[in-house]
Amino acid sequence: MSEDAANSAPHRPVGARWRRWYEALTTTRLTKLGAGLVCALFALAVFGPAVSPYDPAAQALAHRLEAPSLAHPLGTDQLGRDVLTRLLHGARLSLGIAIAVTAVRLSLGTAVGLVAGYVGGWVDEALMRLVDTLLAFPGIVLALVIAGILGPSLTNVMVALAVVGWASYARLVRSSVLSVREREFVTASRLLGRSRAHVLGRHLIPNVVAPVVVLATLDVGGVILGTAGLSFLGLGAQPPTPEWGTMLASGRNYLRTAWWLVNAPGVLIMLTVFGFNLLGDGLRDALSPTQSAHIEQL
Amino acid sequence: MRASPANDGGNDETRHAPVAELRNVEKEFETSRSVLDRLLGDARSAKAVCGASLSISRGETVGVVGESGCGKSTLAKLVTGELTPDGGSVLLDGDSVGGYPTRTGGQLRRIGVVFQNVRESFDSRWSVGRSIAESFGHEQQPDERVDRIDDLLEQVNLDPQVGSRYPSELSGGQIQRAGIARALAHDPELVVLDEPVSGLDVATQATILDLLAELQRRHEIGYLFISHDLGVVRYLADRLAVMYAGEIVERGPARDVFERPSHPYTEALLRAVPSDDPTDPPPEPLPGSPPDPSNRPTGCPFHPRCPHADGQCERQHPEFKRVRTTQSRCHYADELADGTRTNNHGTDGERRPHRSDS
Repeated sequence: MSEDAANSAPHRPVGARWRRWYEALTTTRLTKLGAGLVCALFALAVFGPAVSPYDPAAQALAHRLEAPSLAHPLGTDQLGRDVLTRLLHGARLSLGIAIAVTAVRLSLGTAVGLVAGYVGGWVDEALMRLVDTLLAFPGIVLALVIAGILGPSLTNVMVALAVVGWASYARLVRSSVLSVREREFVTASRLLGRSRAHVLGRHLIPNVVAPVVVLATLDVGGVILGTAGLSFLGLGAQPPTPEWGTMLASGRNYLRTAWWLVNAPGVLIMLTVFGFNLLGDGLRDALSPTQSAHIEQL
Repeated sequence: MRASPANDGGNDETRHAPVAELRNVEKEFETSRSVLDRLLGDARSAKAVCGASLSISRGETVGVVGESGCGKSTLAKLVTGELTPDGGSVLLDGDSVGGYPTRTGGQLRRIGVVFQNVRESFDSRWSVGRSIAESFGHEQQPDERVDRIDDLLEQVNLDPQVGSRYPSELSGGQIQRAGIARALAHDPELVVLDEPVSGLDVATQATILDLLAELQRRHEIGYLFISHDLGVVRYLADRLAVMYAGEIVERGPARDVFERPSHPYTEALLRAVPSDDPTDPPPEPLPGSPPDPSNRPTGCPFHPRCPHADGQCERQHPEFKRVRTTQSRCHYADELADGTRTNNHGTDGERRPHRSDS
């Protein structure tokens, strides 16, 4: 929106909002590091597979278990496939899964939280008991059970992770809605005869977005770790899919002779989770000191 | 500011039929909400407002004063519909109405509200102009809206540029003006002002009060003016209602209530106001504290703190008595007004008129 339009229209200039997010991202060095790691990962996932000269599934048995070299910067695996190429394709896969799962968690949890917080009464009670039940289980164990029942496949892992993780969004959104709906600007809007839908869409949702975005950022790292973990256990992606957890699992057999097979995906998983966590923490601290309390409880 | 006395315009022939009227309204709040208490039938409630009646017409200002917790804000919320009364009725243009969800659009547009905490009443993510435009009906075109926002901001002496700013970017006085602009945006006949100038410095208070007076003249709006600050109320109010423990204990033309209070509570309130004149005696704070609303005293609610109280005050709840132009809920209103009532603590109950205006 241009500066002129922003001044004449009774709507918020978009610039101010983005400036706030930008400032939030660049406040501390650790946040910058996190943002840098995440950006780098996205760049690798988007451009990496195109740049790499190898096919992630092409076997070259003559070159199996080669140590890192100029031709293969991270070596080759037991079937002669280039580890770096497979990692880059894996990054695309992992990020895609993580974003999809987080999006499902976020939409489901936000919807449930909004309804529970705004409608209240027995609806709130019922939804929150369900949330409590879900939160009582350790997430990864519950996901393991669900994925185990559904059978090993990447889709089932995604379903399992989505089902397990929406509850914390619901609780966060509900508590934010409960506090925002008591604020006087909501009363002001209602006293003007505005509908509940208007209040929900124009006042409540925009005011609960910030903590939800923070939680989602922290969550992406967790989902990547969960996907890799379930795949490592054999429940997720099956070979020859270049998934980080699957690569880790098959590389484990060659731990003594080919250290790069395990270390390369391991370090990448670590850096990814590290990056998202730093970014999420930084956003949380920067956006509002009072909102950090909400997330801390989850 | 306090040096200019309120004009007594409430009684002249320009009076309209009341826009809003409260008839014997009562409001209770539950104080103990545990399931066990409810099962045992032990649910306690606090009476915030009991049996208050009040009417506000176009063009006049009705001031409501009293200590914190006396039910002033609850009274205001009953008028706006934020709360529904447990007893009695709220009337808008003679029609009995409930809380805001049951009011028609036309009824809601009768009343504008300036909230106690104005900054909180603006969504911090919305520009001030957008918040003001929220009060408009749906019929207006976008460019009409922009003109109307500019016009409203000019009416409250704000630069139209303020419309594109955010609540956090405005000063206390500016946000207060923006709050008034918003309350006027849907052309109300009555504006409820809950402590509109508390928290502002004295100079800003004065300009806001002047602005309110000017807007009232221009649009002939009625004000329900809630304040704990007698000096502020005195400047604007035509009629005054003094509240104590959820009851209106004295009401009448503002000037008369200030000059010749006929209820000991009003008298005590006036005595607690510091005077402008250094030769006046120092202010006397009210002894004791207001009663616990969940455990109200028998008889007159003010009797535990009243220097004039006797056995009758402990037993019997007083009805309104007419004393000259004002009405007072005191058994001894007449004697107090004449200065013939002595207090029962042995000292001479000599009346000391409030002299800050002389």
